[in-house]
Amino acid sequence: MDTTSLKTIDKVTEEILFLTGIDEKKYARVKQFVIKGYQELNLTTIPEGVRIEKFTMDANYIVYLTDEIVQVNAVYYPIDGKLWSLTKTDKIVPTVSLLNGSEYRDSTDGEGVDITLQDGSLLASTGGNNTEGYWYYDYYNRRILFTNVDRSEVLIHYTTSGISLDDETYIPSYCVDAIHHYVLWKMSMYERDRDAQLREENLREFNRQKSICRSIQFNLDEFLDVIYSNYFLGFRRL
Amino acid sequence: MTRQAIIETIDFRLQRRFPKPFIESSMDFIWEQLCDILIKQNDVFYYTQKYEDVTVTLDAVTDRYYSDLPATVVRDGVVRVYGKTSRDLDFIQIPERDFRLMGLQEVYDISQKVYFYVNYNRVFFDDNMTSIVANEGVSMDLLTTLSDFLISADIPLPKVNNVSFIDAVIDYLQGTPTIELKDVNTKK
Repeated sequence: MDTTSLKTIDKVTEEILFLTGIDEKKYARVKQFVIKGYQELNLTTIPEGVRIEKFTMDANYIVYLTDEIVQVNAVYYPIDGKLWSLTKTDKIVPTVSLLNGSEYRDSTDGEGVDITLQDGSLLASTGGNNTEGYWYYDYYNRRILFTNVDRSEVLIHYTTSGISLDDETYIPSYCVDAIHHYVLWKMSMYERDRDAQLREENLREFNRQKSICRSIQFNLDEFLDVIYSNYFLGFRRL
Repeated sequence: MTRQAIIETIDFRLQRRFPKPFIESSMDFIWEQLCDILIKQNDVFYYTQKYEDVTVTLDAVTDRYYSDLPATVVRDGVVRVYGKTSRDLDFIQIPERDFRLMGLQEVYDISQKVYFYVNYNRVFFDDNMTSIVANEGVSMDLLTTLSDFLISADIPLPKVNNVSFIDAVIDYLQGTPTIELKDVNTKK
């Protein structure tokens, strides 16, 4: 699949070399910058790197993250055909214990114990209780620990780098210009006789192109849907 | 114009002030300077010579494929490398430093191209070189030194910034003191 709306990394690299007249011997360097530029767009601007996938917790209510996950954005349960968001918290006990070399969550240490939810009827209690569950993002061990959950399958909404090591990576053509200026911006940063004005111009154009990438993801229909979703029937007061 | 004709022309224009070997070495020197400019201007392909059936060898120690250059080239004179019969693989020349440092980067992990670098008289290929292409050998477009052309071969004469090759050699030699063409050995 190689159309005008999707381009391979090599094709983008060659386009940049062709348009800018950069020496072909810098092919590998430019290509590495293209990869880094596309990674930055995936993490900050465009939705191509975003995935949602089913994961199953182990017996300790832990999900170990796979290599392609760069950032976890949200964790959901499917309820009545819709996504119900679980609440991220830093207040559950995130450690695990060892028994005969195996990990488990020791309830005597508070590990994996359901937290008490205030029901909102008391004077000092707050709202926002999540009856479906809470999760803790253990960044260092690349895992998610759950509590207050009653089932083991969750949907994790995450961001990848967007670069596939196994298959060909396709870059949407609407973000090629942003990558182009990312490459020029970065290369002007590393040039020995760097030109500050040129560097700033490239950075400004890169940011402008990022805005274009961001803006084309929304349309008027979606905006109106948000407005209408807040309308409801009411009495007409005379 | 053949190399022989160029030598005779320059010799005649300079009123036979210099021995021909000296004119030839001056031509080599100016040729390399002009080629250097042409390479920087990315306008070099016209001046290259094609070499086919260049052998590719596997170095058993480093487990890396390489080819010995079939001719003496000017600096950065390996202009193109391609498979002899197959165009499935793209060959990309990069500096040796890039070759060494890219091994652990994504650019290398996802590459289907054959990166190579030139080390004086040898071309080293990366691991994407296949045994099938290697067994067939490769073809190369090389920008050789001037003396690598046959004396009777037509040479495409470069012109850089409106100065022709012959004028550039004459300009260079004009400022050189005349070398007496006496046969010192017979005199003794």
